[in-house]
Formats: sequence, structure tokens, C-alpha cells
Amino acid sequence: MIRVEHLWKRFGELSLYEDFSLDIPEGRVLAILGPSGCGKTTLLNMICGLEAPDRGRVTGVEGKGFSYVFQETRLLPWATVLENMTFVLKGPFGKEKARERAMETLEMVRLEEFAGYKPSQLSGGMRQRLSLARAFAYPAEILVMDEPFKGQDRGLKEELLGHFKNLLARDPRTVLFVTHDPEEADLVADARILLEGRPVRMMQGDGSSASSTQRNDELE
Amino acid sequence: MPTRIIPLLFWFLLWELAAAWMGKPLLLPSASQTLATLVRLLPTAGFWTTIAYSILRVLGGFLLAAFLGTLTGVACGFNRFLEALFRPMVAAVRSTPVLSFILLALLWFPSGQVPVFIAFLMCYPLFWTAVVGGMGQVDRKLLEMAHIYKVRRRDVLAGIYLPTLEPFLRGALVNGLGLGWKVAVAAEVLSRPRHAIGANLHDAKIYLETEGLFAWTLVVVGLSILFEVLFKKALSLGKTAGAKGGAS
Repeated sequence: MIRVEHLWKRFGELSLYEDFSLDIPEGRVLAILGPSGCGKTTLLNMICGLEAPDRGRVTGVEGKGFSYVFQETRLLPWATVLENMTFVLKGPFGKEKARERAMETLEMVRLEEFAGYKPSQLSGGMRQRLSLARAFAYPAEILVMDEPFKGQDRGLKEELLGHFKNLLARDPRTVLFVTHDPEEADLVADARILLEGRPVRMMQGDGSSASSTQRNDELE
Repeated sequence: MPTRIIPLLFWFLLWELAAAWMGKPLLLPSASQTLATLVRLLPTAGFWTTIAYSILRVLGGFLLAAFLGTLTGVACGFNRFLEALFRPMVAAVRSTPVLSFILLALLWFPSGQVPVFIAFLMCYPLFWTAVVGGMGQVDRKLLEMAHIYKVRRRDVLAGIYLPTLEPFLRGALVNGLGLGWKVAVAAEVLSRPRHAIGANLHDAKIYLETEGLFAWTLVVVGLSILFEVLFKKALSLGKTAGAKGGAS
């Protein structure tokens, strides 16, 4: 269980989180819904340690690895598809195995023939597939996805979600899936929460996860 | 090719005409006289030894500046205090007349090392400034990505920092080489080491061999252009080799 305990976070005058708590069940896909700009990304960043909360803590993540599918793909523009994969895989796997693991995963998202291409030579959807492949090839217990399908057309979104499901079947892990689109959440998530307001509150939790995700006083 | 040759011929012709019009070869020798002097120099052993030594001095100072400028530039890019410490020093070196440094270096170093030191000193700020500027352009979002995936420090250096710095270094390399030639030869004129293009310039002036002065100057210009072409070629070869190596 990953526990977010009594987080406080303020940006200047703006108080984003005040005593915010959340339990995240492991080995499931939790969708975090909410309007754009409501503070979802900040929550993700505090969970994976990119940003420090002003007060409070996150437990259950010690010693665990994270992988992250960013909204903008954050690929190395000067490196090839394969090099973008091995850049993060070299550490955990070593040079030789990293290549193998990268090619296997690229095959799953049908990018193996583009291993020598630069990101600028790929379409937006292909870059997003590469970003997904990178996150899944990396051996992390927790996968964080921040609006990974934002701005993609419907067909592409479904294709990416298909790849996501295949990759998750090969490498099951805890997934925090941030989106503003309830439809996406329906397609992949085991549980969902909805964030809203200033400071951020949990407006609703899905029945299946209510007991575990709603510990705090989310609603009057 | 003709687009390069014709302007060159034009200026040589103008030079020839100006020299004929003036009629004072001691002040302005003609292009043909200068070329004849150069051709007379070519087969002498001393000519090539002189060139070889001058090249070594320029490259020595230039490469040292490239190495130390990059090293300290990267360090300053990581550490704000270090950058604040270096910045006024680099700015001072930049705006000090090269002659002040040459005269000072004459007191500090044996004559053969003065040009090396001067080339180093003039090229160093170029590399430092380029690298510090490049370090500021490193994409924070990529660094964050590398941090999440726990990429090792040296892989981050090689995978994110170096590729970002590359275009900055490229510019400094080409500019630095041109600058290095000019200041090293100027330093040689004053320090007059054995086997030095600058020392020959000095002697030509003393003995009023103006066509020798022009001939040696042509040598410097030619070498400077040659090195720039060779360097650019080497850099672009490095680039394609890198791209190919990456795709394999």
C-alpha cells in the first residue's frame, strides 16, 4: 500500500493541498481524474519525489522504482529510438541485456523497424508509443502516467490504450494514471478518484476502491 | 569553383595595380613579387621547420584552452558560485589588450612558450563562455526524466549534457582556431623564439624586406584557412560517424 499522508503544498499565495491523504492499492491501475490544472501533476510529482511537499509524507515508496510517461514525451531529440530506450535501461540491465529488453518492448508497440530513427522522424503517436515502451521496459514497481494520450485523436488513443494493456499484461505494476477524460479511465482503470477544488479535495471515489482510497474527509 | 577564384583574382589584380601605381615596393610590394618570394622560401628546410613549430605552438595553446575551458565551463554550469567566481576573471581576460598579456608573458616565460600561453589565454574565454552558455540550455525536463529513471551521472553527462553542448563547442572550436593563429603569431613577433613565423615577420620588418613580410603574412592566412577547413571537415565527419554509430 502506498500512503499519501497529510500533504500540504503551497505555491506562493495559492494553497494547492491542505492535509490531503490518499491510499493507493498496489498492483492496480488507479485513475486520477480532475479538470486540467487542478493539481494532479503536482500530486504525482510529490508521490514520485520530483517535488517535495511542504508538510506530510508519502510512505510505501521507499526503495521502489518509478517510471513515468510524461505528457510531453521527453525523448532525447539527438538519440535514436533504440538509444532512447537503452539510455534508461543500461543502468538496471547492463549494456547487452538493455538492448535485448529494448528491442522486445519496441516489438510490442510495433516500433522495432524504427529503432534507428530519431524522434523527429516519427509521428506524434509513434513518439507516444516510444514513451510508453520506455516506461514499461524499465523495471519499476510503480508506473506514473500524466495525461499520456492528451491531444491524440480517438483512433490513436484506442490504439495506445491497446498497447498499454498488452504491456501491463507482460509487466503488471501499480499504475497511477492521471487524466481529465473519464472515458480513458473507464477503459483501463481498476479504480478511480476525482480531484477538484482549492485546496484540492477528493470529490468521489469509485465503489471498488472506496474503502481503500477514501480515508480522508473528502466530502461534506 | 569560379565563384571563388574570380573574386580572389580580382583582389590580386587590384593589389598588383595599386603596387604598380605607387611604384614603391619597399612600402607595397606587388602581388607577383610577394608570390615570387614565397616560392623562393618554399624549398628551404628552415621554412618548413618554422611552420611546424608555429603550428605546434598554436595547437598547444588552443587545445589546452579547449580542454580547460570545457572542464571549468561544465563545472561552472553546475555550480552558481563557481560561475560567479569565474565570470569577472573571464571578462577581465576578454577585455585586456592582447599586447599587455604578451609583454607580461615575456617576463614570465621562456620565448618559445609565450605564444602558447597567449593562444591559450585568448581562446580560453571563448570555450568557457560557450560551454557555460550551453549548460544553461540543458533541458530541465530531460534531466527530470533521467532522474526518475535513475540514470547514472556519467550517462546523463554523455547522453544529455554533451549533445546539448556540442553546437556551442563547434562554434568555439572554429572561432578559437582563427583567433589562436592571430594572437600566437603576434606573440611570436615580440618573443622571437627560434623557428617561428612571427620571428620571421619581425626580421623582415627590421631588414625592410617588405615582400618577405607580405609572404609570411600570406603563409599565416593560408595556414589559418587550411586549419579551419580541416577542422570543419573533421567535425562534420565526427557528426556523421556519430549518427551512423547511433543507428546501428
